[in-house]
Amino acid sequence: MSAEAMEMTKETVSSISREGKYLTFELGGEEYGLEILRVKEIIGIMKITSVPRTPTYVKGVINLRGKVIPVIDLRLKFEMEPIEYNERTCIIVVDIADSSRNGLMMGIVVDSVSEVLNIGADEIEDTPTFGTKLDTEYILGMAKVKGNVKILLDIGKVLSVQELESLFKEE
Amino acid sequence: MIAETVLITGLCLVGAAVVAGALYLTRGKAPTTILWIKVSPGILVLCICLFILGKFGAYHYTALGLCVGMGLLVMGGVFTLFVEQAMNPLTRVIEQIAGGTDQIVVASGQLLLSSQSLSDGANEQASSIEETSSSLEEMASMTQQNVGHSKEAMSLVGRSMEKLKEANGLMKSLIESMENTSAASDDVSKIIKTIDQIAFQTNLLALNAAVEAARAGEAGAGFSVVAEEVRNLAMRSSEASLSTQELITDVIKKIEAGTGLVERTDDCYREVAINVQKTNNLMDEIVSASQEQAQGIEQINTAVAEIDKVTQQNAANAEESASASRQMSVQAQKMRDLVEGTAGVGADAGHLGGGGAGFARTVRQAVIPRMFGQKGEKVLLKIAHGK
Repeated sequence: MSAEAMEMTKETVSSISREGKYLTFELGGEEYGLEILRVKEIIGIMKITSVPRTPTYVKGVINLRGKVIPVIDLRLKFEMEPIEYNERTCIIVVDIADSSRNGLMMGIVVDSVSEVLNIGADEIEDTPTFGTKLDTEYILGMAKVKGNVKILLDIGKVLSVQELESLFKEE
Repeated sequence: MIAETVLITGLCLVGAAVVAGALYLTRGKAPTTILWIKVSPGILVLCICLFILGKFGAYHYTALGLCVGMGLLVMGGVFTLFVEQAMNPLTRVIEQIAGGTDQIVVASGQLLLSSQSLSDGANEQASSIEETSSSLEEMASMTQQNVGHSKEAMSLVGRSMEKLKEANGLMKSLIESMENTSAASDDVSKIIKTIDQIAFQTNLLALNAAVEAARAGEAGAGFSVVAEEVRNLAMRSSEASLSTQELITDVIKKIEAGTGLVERTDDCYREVAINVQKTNNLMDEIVSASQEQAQGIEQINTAVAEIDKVTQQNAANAEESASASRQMSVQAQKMRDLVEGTAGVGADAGHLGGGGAGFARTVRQAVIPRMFGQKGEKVLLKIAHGK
């Protein structure tokens, strides 16, 4: 009984924790969402200093008001076709800090930033299982907004721990 | 005595006839025979006269009369023979002349006919030459008109060329103006791009503001609304700038198309200018050719006028020759009549001894009409016949 109740509570908590404001952006024609509290800043595309001996998805580092922040290209990370950056291309600076890491910031390059959306719990569904051992851990859920589906990302899990470590060791 | 005279006369007649018959039989129609025939009446008359004288007893005149009479008779006979002999060639000549005159009459008739037809022909020719002359004059005036028209056309072509040059200048101005418009559109496009960039930046700022408002939680609720509004404005200006950009792109495209059309028009004008130049040259040639033609026609006109003069003269000459041949014909007729009369004289002269009847005929036919005319002849004939 108590176990069931705990299950329920957990589910409710996860559901509750998922509802809230998301920053949506576009990538390869699809809409993605980021938890707003993860977002530190949105900036237009700027000069990225490339860093040698890094994976291809790591575009380099930028100087954001005196702070050097690593930048990854989400397209490349998601193994999509790379595109030429244009005036719509944006860098979203996100906080990937968690219990183990503190105040770590990272820039992600997206095709364009859309808007800030308030998404209710009832609009969010769990990630469907694709019947494979596909790693869908970095997906928080699927938001059904105005007939479309937006993929809500857990940006802290997009890069694996190893990747993150290698990235921040470099720095 | 009368019986004796008649007897003697009869004897003499028989004797003369016998002699004449013997002469005719032996000599044919020889001068001797003719002489005998012509002399014998005289001898007969002489013999009768002498017989009558002898009867009245004047014998001493007989021998003398016989001698004188015989001598006169022989002389007359010989003279007659001689005249006949002499007249023979003359008669032949006159006969030939008569033949010739006949021919002259025929020929002069033919000449009359042909000179009349010549005259008619010359008249006809003169009239057709007049027609030719008038058509030539018409032609000359037409050519002059052609020259005038060609000159007018040339001046028109010249004016067209001027207008074409003006159009060319206008075309260049038009192209320049279109290029200016295109450049201005480019400038506007740049400004729109700047506006778009500003809208984009504003959008980013609004989004950042929204993020900050979200972080502020409940306290930032109002601010988030403002941020949303700002973002909407930014989006709208972005959209507006986008549609303006599209419009300007469209305008630029249209201007480019217009420029292309204008260039093609310019090419066409250039071609037209070349053609007009060619037309001008051709017109020039036409004018000079027409002038030459006019000169040629003038020369032809002069020549035709001369031909006309000559033809007029020919016509007059033919007329004159027709009248001359008419006169000639009349004269030939007269001559023939005269010759016929003369031939009669010749023939009669050969027969003087024949009693002069031939001579009388000659006088009637040839002499009287010339002396008294046809009427006089008739009157004389009536007198002669005792009417």
